[in-house]
Amino acid sequence: MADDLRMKLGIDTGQAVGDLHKAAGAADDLTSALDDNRSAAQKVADEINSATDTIVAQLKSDVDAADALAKAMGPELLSTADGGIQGLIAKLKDLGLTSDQIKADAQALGDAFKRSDEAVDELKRLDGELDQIDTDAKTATDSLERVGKADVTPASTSAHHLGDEMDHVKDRTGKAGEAVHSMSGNAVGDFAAATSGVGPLGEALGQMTETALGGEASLKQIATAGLGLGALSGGMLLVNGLLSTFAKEAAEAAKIKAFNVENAKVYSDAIEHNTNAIDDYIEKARTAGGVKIAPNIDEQTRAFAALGTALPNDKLTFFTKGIQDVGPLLIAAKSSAQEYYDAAVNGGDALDDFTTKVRNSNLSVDEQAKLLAAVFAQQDNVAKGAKTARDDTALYTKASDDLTASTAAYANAAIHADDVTADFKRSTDDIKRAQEQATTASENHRKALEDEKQATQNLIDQELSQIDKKYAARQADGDAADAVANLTTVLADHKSTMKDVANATDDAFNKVLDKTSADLNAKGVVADSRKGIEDQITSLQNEANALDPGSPLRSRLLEYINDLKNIPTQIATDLHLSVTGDNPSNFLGGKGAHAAGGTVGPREVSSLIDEEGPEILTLPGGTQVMTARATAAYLAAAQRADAGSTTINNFTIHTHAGLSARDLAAELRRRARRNGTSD
Amino acid sequence: MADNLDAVAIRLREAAASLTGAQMRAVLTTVGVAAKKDVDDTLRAAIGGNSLRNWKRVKLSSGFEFTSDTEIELRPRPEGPWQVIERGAGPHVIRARKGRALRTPHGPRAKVRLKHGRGLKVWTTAVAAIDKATPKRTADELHKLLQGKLDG
Repeated sequence: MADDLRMKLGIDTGQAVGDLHKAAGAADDLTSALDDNRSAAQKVADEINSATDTIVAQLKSDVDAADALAKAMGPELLSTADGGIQGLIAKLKDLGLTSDQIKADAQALGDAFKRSDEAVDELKRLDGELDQIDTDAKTATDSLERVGKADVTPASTSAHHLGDEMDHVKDRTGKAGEAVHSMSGNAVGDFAAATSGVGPLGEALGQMTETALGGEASLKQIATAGLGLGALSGGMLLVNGLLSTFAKEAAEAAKIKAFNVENAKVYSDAIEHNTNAIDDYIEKARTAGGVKIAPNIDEQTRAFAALGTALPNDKLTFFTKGIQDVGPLLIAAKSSAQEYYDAAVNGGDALDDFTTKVRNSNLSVDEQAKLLAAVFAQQDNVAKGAKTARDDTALYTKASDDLTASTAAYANAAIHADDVTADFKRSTDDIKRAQEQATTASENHRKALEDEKQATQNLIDQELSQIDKKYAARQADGDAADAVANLTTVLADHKSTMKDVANATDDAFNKVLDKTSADLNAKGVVADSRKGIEDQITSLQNEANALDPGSPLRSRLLEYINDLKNIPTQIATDLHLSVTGDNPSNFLGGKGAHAAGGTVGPREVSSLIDEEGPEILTLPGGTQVMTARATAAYLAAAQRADAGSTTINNFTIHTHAGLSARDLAAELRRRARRNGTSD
Repeated sequence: MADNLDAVAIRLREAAASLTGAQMRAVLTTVGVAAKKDVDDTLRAAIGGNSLRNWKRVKLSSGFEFTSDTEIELRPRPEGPWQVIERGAGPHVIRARKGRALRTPHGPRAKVRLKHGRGLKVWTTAVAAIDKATPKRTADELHKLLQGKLDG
């Protein structure tokens, strides 16, 4: 069983489909990453905006409180206030009052300040009077001493006694003076505590708040905004946390893949974590600020420590630790945390004032040195804090720049990708055109090959034809041999009749002739040509010579050979046909003839013609006779050419023995169509 | 940019979908028709037409059927004469039917002896031509298909 003729053509698109889905997924991821990144940035912006709103609201509230208090106090009293209205507001808020409370009780606070100012004036006046008494007493004592030195005993004794009495008065007066001076100084120094009536509690609260704010950010501005700036600090903390995250991510931001979901989650986590830390800090700060009394420095320290633990950033705890160390010294030096803070943060006059106060205190030299060293240490911390803030700002700026640069790089990359895609498309078009040109060239080449192949095929066909002819010759040879053998058998068979012999002879004769023709055909010789006739004669003569002299086939062959030899090499026949326009019906085939038009039948036909009088024309079967319509058309054309004249066409045809009647008729038709005379 | 990326993702998925089902059948139909023409051309180059000289009634061609959305099977039609053309025939005798004669160059004959005929390997030649031409045809068709999807 032969193999099936099949061909399968398939296209495997699985890989391509998978790659296209992957590319689509990558586009989705990139879209999500860009969206998430935008969301994270938006959250940062929202947080900063929220912190800014808080600050603005706080400042607005402070301004309202300041306006109300300034009206209540009047410009004269206000001009004597240390730090102006802003300083007063800060100190009142240090005592735990809110802006709203200050605003609501501004009139009462103003009256209290006025009374306090009058009391101070009175104390100062009393202090002046006591100084005068002291001066008078001293003058009297000196007079008595001079009297006592005189030699008047009774007078001297009395004078000494008086002198003792005066010393006693002087001592008492001096003590009273110290007490007045002390009261006056404390009244001025503890201004906030005296006017608010809360005494040490107010100072403790103020110190606590100052400490919390100063330790939190080490920024002077924070001291004027109270706990409200805790939110700002928290906002900064948040920004710092985010900036830290951004800084970490900035190195990878140049890569597009950094903008993915995972990074966006980091941003979100950072925001959430810092927000929670800030809320916790604010809550603890408020709780600490709500402590009503600080009976000793240890409790204050614990409160500071509670604040410190609320802040994970170690930068925020240094002030707490510092106040723990110097707290007892501050109290002993009768200095407030505000002064300590101003000296550390502001330096300059505040530092000079603080130093003077410490020097004039009852502290030992070592204690004074320790306290001043703490202030200088805090100054370093403030500087460090400021540097940290600058660094953070620079970091934020750099991160923003990096982010901008990354975005620009990504945009450039996208533009470049577009360019590359355009180049790729142009290249693809070029390749396509080149492929089309190659296809055209290939097609031309294929046609050339086809032509060559056709020529080769023609050659092969000729060879095959020749082979067929040789095969036919051999087959005819075999058939002839079979027929001759059959004739021999028939002749030898005594039962054969004359008819059998005649049939066998005819068959053998025909087969021999076929064999001869096939041989000539295989040799490429035309049978009717001179050479063909000669070759036939030779071949048939050889066949005849091989037969018995009495063989009927031999006789037939010799007769045929004789006929062939009798064929003239050339026969010249002049055939004159006269066509008369006046009597066209006389031309060929009259009524009843067998060839009234078309081909003459197998039998010969005789017709009456009139060339030189009545004549019988006999044509062989197969002769073509023009139909009446064609003849009429022909004669009409002849008449147009030469009306009334007689056209005589003379045809001279060379014929030979092999020319059949059919061939003769065909030649006549051809000549007639040409309407000319040939050789 | 996100909008553009969304559009790109949609087009990529549409392109992926176009590589299956009816659209792939359309691509394969084009490729199959071209393969049929290759067979016809090869046949014409080998025997000068679409029928044999002595077998005029039989018109030789080819056809294809889908075995799946992504595969076709090409077959010669009718397969019997194609087998003769492809592989040839052994020596045999052709006999005329009763009362009829066989036409031969040498006149009517009752029988004809034929020697061994060699095969022309027309189908093998056609398959080689199709093998060579099909990848580019397929690539061109897929290129047109994907270009239409990705260009929008």
